[in-house]
Amino acid sequence: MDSHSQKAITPEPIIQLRNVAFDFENTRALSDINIDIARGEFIAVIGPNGGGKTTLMRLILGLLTPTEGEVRIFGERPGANPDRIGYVPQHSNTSPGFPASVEQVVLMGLAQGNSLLGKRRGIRYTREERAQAEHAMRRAGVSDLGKRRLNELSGGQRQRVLIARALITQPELLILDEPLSNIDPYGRQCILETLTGLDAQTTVVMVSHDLGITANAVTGIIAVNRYALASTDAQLTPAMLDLMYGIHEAGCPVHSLLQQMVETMPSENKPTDGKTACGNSHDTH
Amino acid sequence: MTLTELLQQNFMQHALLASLLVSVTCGVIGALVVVNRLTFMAGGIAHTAYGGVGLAFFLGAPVLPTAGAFTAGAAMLLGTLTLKKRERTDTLIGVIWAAGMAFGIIMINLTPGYNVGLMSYLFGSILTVPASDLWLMLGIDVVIVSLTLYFYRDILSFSFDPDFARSRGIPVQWLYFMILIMVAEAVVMMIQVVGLILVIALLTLPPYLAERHTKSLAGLMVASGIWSFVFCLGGLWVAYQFDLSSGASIIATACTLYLAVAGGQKLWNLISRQEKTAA
Repeated sequence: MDSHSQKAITPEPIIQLRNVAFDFENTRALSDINIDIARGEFIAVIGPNGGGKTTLMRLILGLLTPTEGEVRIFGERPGANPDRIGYVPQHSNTSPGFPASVEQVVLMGLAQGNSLLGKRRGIRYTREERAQAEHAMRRAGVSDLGKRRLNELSGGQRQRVLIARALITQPELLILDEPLSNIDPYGRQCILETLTGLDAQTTVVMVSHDLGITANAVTGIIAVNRYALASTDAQLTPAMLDLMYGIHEAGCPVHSLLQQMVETMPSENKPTDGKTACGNSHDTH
Repeated sequence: MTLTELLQQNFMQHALLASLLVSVTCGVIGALVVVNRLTFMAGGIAHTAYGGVGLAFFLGAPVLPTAGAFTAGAAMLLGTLTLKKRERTDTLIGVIWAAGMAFGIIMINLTPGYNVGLMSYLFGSILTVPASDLWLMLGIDVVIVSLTLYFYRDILSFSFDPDFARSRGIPVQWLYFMILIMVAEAVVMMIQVVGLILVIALLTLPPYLAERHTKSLAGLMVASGIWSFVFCLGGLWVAYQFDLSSGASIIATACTLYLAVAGGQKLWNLISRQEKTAA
């Protein structure tokens, strides 16, 4: 194992990456990645822009194929179990002007097709499917927005709609790509409430730039900058900071900033108190 | 000639039927082009169709089937190239666009004699649609509507968020190629009505108008189809009244109605806002 990589020893890993490398146009974007993530973990994936966080998520989802190494999700190849995995991209990747109501967007989470000629469901949604959508919208705190269009919603509300779309199949693994980007503080809090209120068996892997706001929620951190370092106690380590931002001497402004990041990390993870100011319906643990 | 007499004319009945058949495809494909942001791609495919028209003239083959096959091939080529070089999409479309037109012109240059009917493929000629082409149009309508209904949920998910659709196991590359081929066939069908130069306007203006009052992709397709039929009927009436080219009249009608509706909506919003401020 490379000195930059650290394997987290966890029971029953549902995500396993072994010696994974990925090249983008002949440039190595990720190298020697060895990660295990166990059921029920809430992992924040952090790192600088261009460090490979999104690439790592796309490898886990099966949207990219590793150049080297192996990715196993639930013990199988990525993409083998679409119903067990919920994916939440950044809301800015979708067009708010798309002709669809919130309920229809959430129902898109049920779309599936393993081959071009496989059996398809009809154009109309059944009562059961609508009930599933209603349940997912309630969990994400957007049940009162069902008839609205996306362009009538705030960024935070749109992001929660995409979370509801991912939750409609009741996935065991939820992967979120920077869900807190370009969201106001209230919206961020609502999204975190949604995520921390999920069933304790749901594993959450979330790319985030802002570790401060997620620090209380996460159970582990993976720092990514071409290589990856994992910690199972949600603590930023000097090695992680070194990997992400390099070594800076005392007195350097970057050094002060990094020190501040370490000092502002909470000493222990505090569970949320269950208050749902955003209207979320928390799962029963 | 009275309106009743006009409607009894064979050419006018064909024109009305062609308008209806084209509007069905136009509604479905126009909505897909707009929500998938494929307008420039559709423009490229439309102009490449000229290569197919030229090839048909050169070979002495029927124009619509030859252009349909040629344009479908060009759409597949465009799809393959743009999938591999996404950042070069605009450039690649521009190259194929120009190459298709150039190929068509060279084919026509190489065809003996003077081809009088060529202008009708550039600017449309809905008043001269033969019955055989109407059957072909009906066939294209049936195929496009059937494919869209069968793959509706996949198309909806793909159009809104291709990455999410892939994560759900939807074969998005196949869908992308299928949509491009449907666009190619729709374009060839519409060449009869408005000509390949004006195709883009009839594909995009109806969805732009319809998206203001629809809340679903299926609704957008139906409303776009209705707008498209209104444009065709209005354009035919204008062409008849003022003795103008039918293709250009249809597009002029579409543009005028679009500006009137969009302008009216803006004015209405302004008045509503002022009333609220005053209150």
